[in-house]
Amino acid sequence: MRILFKHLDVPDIDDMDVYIREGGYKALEKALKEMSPDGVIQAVTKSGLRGRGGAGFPTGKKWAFIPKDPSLKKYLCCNADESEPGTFKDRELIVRNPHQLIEGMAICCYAIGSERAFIYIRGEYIEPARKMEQAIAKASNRGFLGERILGTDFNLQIQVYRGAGAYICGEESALLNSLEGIRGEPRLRPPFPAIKGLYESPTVINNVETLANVPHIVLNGGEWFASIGTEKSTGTKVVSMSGHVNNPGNYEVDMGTPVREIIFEHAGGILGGKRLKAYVPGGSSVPMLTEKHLDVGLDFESMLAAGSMLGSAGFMVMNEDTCIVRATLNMARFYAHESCGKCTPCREGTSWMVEMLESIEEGTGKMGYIDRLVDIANNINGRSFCALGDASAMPVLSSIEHFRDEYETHVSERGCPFAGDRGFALRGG
Amino acid sequence: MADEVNLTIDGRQITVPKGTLVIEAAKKLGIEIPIFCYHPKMEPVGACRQCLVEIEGFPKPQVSCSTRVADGMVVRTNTPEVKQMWEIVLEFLLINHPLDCPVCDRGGECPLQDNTFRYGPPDSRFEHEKRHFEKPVALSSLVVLDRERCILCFRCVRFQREIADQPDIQVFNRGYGDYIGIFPGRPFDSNFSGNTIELCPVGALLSSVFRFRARPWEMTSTESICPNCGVGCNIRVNARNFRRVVRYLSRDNPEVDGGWLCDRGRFDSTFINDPERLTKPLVRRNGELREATWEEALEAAVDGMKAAGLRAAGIGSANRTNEQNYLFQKFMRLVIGTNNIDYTMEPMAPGGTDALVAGLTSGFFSGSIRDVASSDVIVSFGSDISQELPVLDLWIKKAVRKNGSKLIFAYPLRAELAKYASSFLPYSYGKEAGFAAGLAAAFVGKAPEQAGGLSGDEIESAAKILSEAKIVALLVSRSVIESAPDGMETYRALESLVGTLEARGARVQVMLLVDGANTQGGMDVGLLPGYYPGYRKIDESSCSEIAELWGAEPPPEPGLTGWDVVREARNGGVLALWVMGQDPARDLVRAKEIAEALGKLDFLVVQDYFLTETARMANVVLPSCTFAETKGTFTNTERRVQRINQAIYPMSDSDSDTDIILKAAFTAGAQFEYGRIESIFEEIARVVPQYGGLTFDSIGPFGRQWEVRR
Amino acid sequence: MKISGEAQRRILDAKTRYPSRSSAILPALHILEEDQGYVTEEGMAEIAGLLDMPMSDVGGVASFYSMFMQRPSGTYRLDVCRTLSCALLGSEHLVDYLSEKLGIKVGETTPDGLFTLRTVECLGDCGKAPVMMAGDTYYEDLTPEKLDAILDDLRRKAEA
Repeated sequence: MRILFKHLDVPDIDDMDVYIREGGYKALEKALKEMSPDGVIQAVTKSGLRGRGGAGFPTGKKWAFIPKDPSLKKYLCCNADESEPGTFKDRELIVRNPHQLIEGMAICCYAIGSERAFIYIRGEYIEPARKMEQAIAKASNRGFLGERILGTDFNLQIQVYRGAGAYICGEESALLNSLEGIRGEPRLRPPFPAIKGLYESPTVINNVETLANVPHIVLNGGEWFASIGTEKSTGTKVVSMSGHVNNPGNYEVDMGTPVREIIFEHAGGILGGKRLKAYVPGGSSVPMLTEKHLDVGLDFESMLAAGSMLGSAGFMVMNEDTCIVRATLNMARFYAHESCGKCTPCREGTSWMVEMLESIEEGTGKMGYIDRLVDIANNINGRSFCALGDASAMPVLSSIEHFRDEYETHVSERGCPFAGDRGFALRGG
Repeated sequence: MADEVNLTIDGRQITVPKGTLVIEAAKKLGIEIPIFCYHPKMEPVGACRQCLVEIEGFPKPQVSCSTRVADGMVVRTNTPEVKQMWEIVLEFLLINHPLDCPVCDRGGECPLQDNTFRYGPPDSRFEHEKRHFEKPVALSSLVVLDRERCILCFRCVRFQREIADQPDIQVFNRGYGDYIGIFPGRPFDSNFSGNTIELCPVGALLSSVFRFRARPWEMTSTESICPNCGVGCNIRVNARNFRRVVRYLSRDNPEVDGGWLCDRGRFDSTFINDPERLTKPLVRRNGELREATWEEALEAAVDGMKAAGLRAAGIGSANRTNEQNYLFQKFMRLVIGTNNIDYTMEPMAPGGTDALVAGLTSGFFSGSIRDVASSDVIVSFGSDISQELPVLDLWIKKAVRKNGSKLIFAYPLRAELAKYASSFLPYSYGKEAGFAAGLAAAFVGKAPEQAGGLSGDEIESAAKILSEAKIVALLVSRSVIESAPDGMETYRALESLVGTLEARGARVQVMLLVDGANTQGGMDVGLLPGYYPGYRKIDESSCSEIAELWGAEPPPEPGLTGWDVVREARNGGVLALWVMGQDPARDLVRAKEIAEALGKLDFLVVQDYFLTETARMANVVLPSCTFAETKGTFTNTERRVQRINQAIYPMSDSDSDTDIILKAAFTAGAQFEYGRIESIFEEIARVVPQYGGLTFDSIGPFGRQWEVRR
Repeated sequence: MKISGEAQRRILDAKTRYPSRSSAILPALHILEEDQGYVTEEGMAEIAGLLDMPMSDVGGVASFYSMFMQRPSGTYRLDVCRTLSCALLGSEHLVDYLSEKLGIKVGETTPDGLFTLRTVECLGDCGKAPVMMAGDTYYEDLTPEKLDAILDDLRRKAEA
């Protein structure tokens, strides 16, 4: 089923007039004129919508945490930092249909009593940021944003805030620091953002995809949304397919869709007709899975049961030629580069893992490094300040779990056993 | 008991106030948890992860430095899992830490060493290249940084932000490349930068003064008081071989310094072992100062003073001990025979000293430093506290920033504290009395159109803040009472203001701000020409009272002030002067006038550490000891009598000021007999009513305030 | 070099746009980079003054983010993604190709000051891997041939 992408075939759906013609901003009108803020929260709660950024926290519950005290300023931050490797869905949601996001944000703000919202967008998304700003300007001119929206006494200002190249700023509390002009390091919790978030005020932080679902829930009802997908993972999920697949790109599928269908039907199978070796289903921060896990359903619970996580549903697919040590080293480098440096295990451990992986890949590693990597990863996981540390452990732990023999071969043969490009070739090369 | 929480740590029950951090609760049970980033005086950050513990119900280990207790919480620090976590964090910290402990200043007093010794891994599994940084880097002329040793606990950065509010240092870069630094070309320019050295849990931040000077285990540590200003911060004097003072460290007195020192105090330890120190007495012969024996010098000094008869005078010192100053004034009065005694050569306004004494003896000035922390409005009048009493500035900043107290800052210049003020009142110099009267009038609804060079509106805005105050700390600089014109009027206006405030139900504590480490004590023990010790105004009855206490009669008439001496010296009214521990010829304001007057004297004795400008003019120079070479007491701005202890042997032939005076008295044939420094203090306690009941022992390590009931 | 008047105006404008003036720091640093090519020390010091922030904070923030260049760079930064999805489709080869073609190593700038070659982490466009960012533009589905054309195109733009 296509919800977020249902207009994707409509030419110029990014144009506000086209969006309105296709039924856009009807949900906002309905929320403002026919529903109470609590009614909106109830509908979202009933829909079972869970955060699409990776953690899967129930959205309605998150909104309900916001204090009702009207004297408190409240904020909504839309997390458009999208820096999880293998994930590029929010970019498409913004570029292809910016008003869907604006509408979702406006409804959320109405529900939580916020008059000010920010879209924190990663610094590299320059064109998407411009697109978003233009759309906001248009929506403001048309009275969907600004003062007395649609003739009600609801006011809302949305601003785009550009990051500047830091993966950690996708972590919600680091995002708040970044937006406040402080170094983008994560914050201690408690206090939680719902109580003390942006500028010490109650704040909701939601992913782009999460918010983009909201207009559809308001229009069609929470029950309708809950009827899609699985019992606990409702609705659809936009999956980003990349790596060794024939048709990379974003696909919207019902929650629970088997991975086999996603890789082999939607994404057209493995590049060059090769065999699948491994795939990361939720961005590099989740454990990788293998051929054995092709019949797992794409939803929070099934992924967890299979030993991984839904995450952002950014799939990175690796074919049989891929050297898993090299792929893991690539991901380990990413985390070492992106660690904010605040806590010891992540700052020191991520770079130590890189050193050991490098040695193994280059043929100077020792057999003991393999268990040491597991030990270090286990000591970063759960001990670091924020989830970045945990994430850094996942590629290492899962690759050793599934491909220990390959690591051992690297050590015993003093180098990478894979020929040539080790699976890192140019397409057709 | 809703404000209390019961929890169990390692099977032991404890009840602590709600909001307590787990690590503090553990501390109460004597359970030690290793830390690096945590510091009880700063907000927890949970960054280093050293203090992880297990808490039932949490899926992951928690940092005990930032987790607050909850009722029924079950914490474990003694499981193999916790030990393993402590070990691995240390292993992580050590992979990039250079093992250069043998050449590291911190070696031997290093929390990283200590925690590794107790909880660390037996060896490292790290087999790759350690991280490298250019080192060492001078962050300022005082602070040097070795980035390779830094474990990124951020204590320094947090101190400069949370406590000093002088955010010159910051974390730069990201992740593995994180380092502490300054903005290029902008040195670490804070009054308090030295505290970051002491807070640093490794040898990353180093003192350029102490660097490579001594190993911690070969130093002695002596409890003392910083001699630099009137706050009287408690310090430890570290010395080698009982000969060489290598540094001062803070010694947390929660009522005085809160564990912090200013840079001016902390780094001012080098003068003690300065090679320029005077080591031999000097006597002027044929126009030149030449080395002499103590006997020769003392004889010359006493003879020269006595020759002046009644036209002799003495100047004591605001940074000499109570014992030294007490003996000095007693010597001047009884042996030399003059009441021409003062603690300064600064000109005082007529009646200024009387106003000051009235305030001190009536109990008007009975406030304390800690009042700053508990008041909702702080009024500071006449002092650039950040410069004059730096650590008091930290108390004020904390009150304003953390407690939301309001500051009324009255000072002629836009000094640092002006930016913390809800009301900044830059009155005009010389118009202190008008300003004080205006403020008092505004407070009873009779705001003048202008006062003290300020508009009525400005005065009224301050009065409005005061009108909403419940607890007020009023800090009054000595100078606005004693040396500014019309000090008595200023004092009366303040009395009236305080009276009105109190009548309206506010609690007001007034503290006199004095700048010298022992200005207060000097005045207490008798360095005033118009008063005998204990603020006894010189008259017939006080004279006989003192005579009874001393067993000898002091001169019965009030003497000349220090400034009178300057004036009289020019026309022969004063012929001989004995200066102990001051360099008036280098006075910041009146050096020329004073030097000229000193030049006219027949005879000048100077007792000091260095051949100062004044000493160069002297007929006799007596080399004296610094505070580190002697024992005694200082009385700080809140009238807290605090002990200094001898940390090193006296330099060469120099002698303590007390011994010099005793020897001089002996030379003059007087009977001054004191077995020990304590005996002098015992006499002070008998003679100075404010010190009644105090003994050297009862003062204790953190001092005792003298109080006057109002 | 002083920040241009126009850039200053934009920074001051940014200062008023957020509930707290320190929020204007990232916009200000972006403006500074556009104005001066990288985040110059002088420019950061000026920003500290304009936003009334400690200089150390401006420096600390600027150095935290990998988009801000701390040193002068070429007119065009060729930021080639090196993260897994791009790497799996040969981005490492593209870096080698560019390095050889331009005669510079990663992190260096061509002598004519036109190109700086960098590798960056995931650009969030993995479906079009391998990807490179140059200026405001993402270049997608890259091949050596495409890179040739892109370099020619950028050179022409720079000349114009």
